Amino acid sequence: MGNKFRLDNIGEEFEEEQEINGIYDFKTTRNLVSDRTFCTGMCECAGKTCPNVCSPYCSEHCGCATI
Amino acid sequence: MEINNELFVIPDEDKFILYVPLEGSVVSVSSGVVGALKKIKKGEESSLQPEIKEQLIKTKILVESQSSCNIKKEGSEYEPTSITLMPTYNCNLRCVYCYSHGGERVGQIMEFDVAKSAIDLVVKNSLKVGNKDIHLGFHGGGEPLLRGNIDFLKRSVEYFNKQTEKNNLKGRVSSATNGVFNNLNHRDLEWILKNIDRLNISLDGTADIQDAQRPMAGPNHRFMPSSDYVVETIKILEEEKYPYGIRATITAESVPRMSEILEFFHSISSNKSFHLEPLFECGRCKTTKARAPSPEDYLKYLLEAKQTAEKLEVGIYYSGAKLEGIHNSFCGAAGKNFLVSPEGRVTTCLEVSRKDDDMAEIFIVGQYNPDKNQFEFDDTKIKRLQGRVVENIPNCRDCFAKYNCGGDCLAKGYAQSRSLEDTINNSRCSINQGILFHEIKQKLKGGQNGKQI
Repeated sequence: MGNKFRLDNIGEEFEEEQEINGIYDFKTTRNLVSDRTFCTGMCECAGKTCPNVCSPYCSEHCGCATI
Repeated sequence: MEINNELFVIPDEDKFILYVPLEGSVVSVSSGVVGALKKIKKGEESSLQPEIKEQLIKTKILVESQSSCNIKKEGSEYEPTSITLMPTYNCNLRCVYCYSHGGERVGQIMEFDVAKSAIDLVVKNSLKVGNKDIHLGFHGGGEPLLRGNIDFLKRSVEYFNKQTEKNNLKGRVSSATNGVFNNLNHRDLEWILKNIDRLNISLDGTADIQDAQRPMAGPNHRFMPSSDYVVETIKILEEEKYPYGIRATITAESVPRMSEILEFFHSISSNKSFHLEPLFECGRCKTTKARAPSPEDYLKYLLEAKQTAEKLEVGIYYSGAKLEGIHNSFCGAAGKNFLVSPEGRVTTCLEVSRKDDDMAEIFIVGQYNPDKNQFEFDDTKIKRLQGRVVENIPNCRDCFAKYNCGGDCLAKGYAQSRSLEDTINNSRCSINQGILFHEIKQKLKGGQNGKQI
């Protein structure tokens, strides 16, 4: 897909019609507070079960490593 | 009105998706809206229709002024409150892709003094920063739950429990494991189930896949099947209603079978989510020729497996697609983790713990000093790792997935480019983008839970 997804990376040919086809708000499902951590969500503070099955309680591992 | 600085525009056939990850907004629009936004960006008169403009303000694509980032900043002090101990590099399996060459040489088991000092440190830090929840984990190197490690595990867990109780902290213990417990006796297993709160089992799929990728070490350097033992362990955990997870490594050989792997897991486990992680070639891959799936194949079959998952009413987890949160870093390898090797080296990345690892210079940030009975850290290295946040990665600057993958895995990125901040060769980017794009489209269709405006 490339790695440039800004307005400036879009060409200059546009249709006249302005239309909104759909809107979604991630805020209802996201936790917007983590910094430098991989929030597994398994910790109790997240208050829900997280699919991350590598690191059950802490927010330290990404689950990338296996043994 | 101005355009949100963190607006991303993703082409979607003849339409565009406007995505502001820091505000959680997704809007699908016609190209006419993008054209009008470009005019605003250039400082030209707005040609946005009033009702469209209203929605773009509501979704914070248009803002009066740029707001500060929603990502909470933590202090930069290295004060870990959780610890992962790697008791040994010894292992009863010879997985074809093992990142740490587990079991190749009979190695030492961690001295209890190292574990004790590490536990003391995280307890002290927890009390200092007011953190009540404290975690002790066991991981590889090798297999943590080998018979030969049990005495070490018992002493460590007992000491951990004593310290957490004494200091009014809430301690939890978990361990990764290969699930091959044929070397344990009944009392060992009973102790594990009673004293470790959760296990995370590595199982790569059906018997043919598991036995080919994760064989057991047998006599005379022969390999033996391991699948029956792991399935037996899962059966016991199910009977005991014990919490555990299953994680599979997906290789070039197994990638077309991801749906089948998921169905197999569902047939033996009551878990509601399974972890399917693509192999990254390192460690033993160099000699076994185990191969990673291509990003295209992994994405293709992951999306196929997601359909299977929906039917089975289970979830799939992959580390690069953190859809339920935004992050400016991939994981605690960015100068936060406190992971201790059998010899007392401190690393922030599980995959880099041996002193001869070619990434040791980056990720090994400390060492246990037996004379002083304490850990000593290299603050410069820790600060260097802490600086590896997605805002500092040039290649990620304009990528819509940046706050979902957090710049992706530090070690895998470094292995490919020899730089922490260069992700240009990261083969996982297309997977991370592809999954997020798919997820956003699903959300826009209203196919999954969440709030559709």
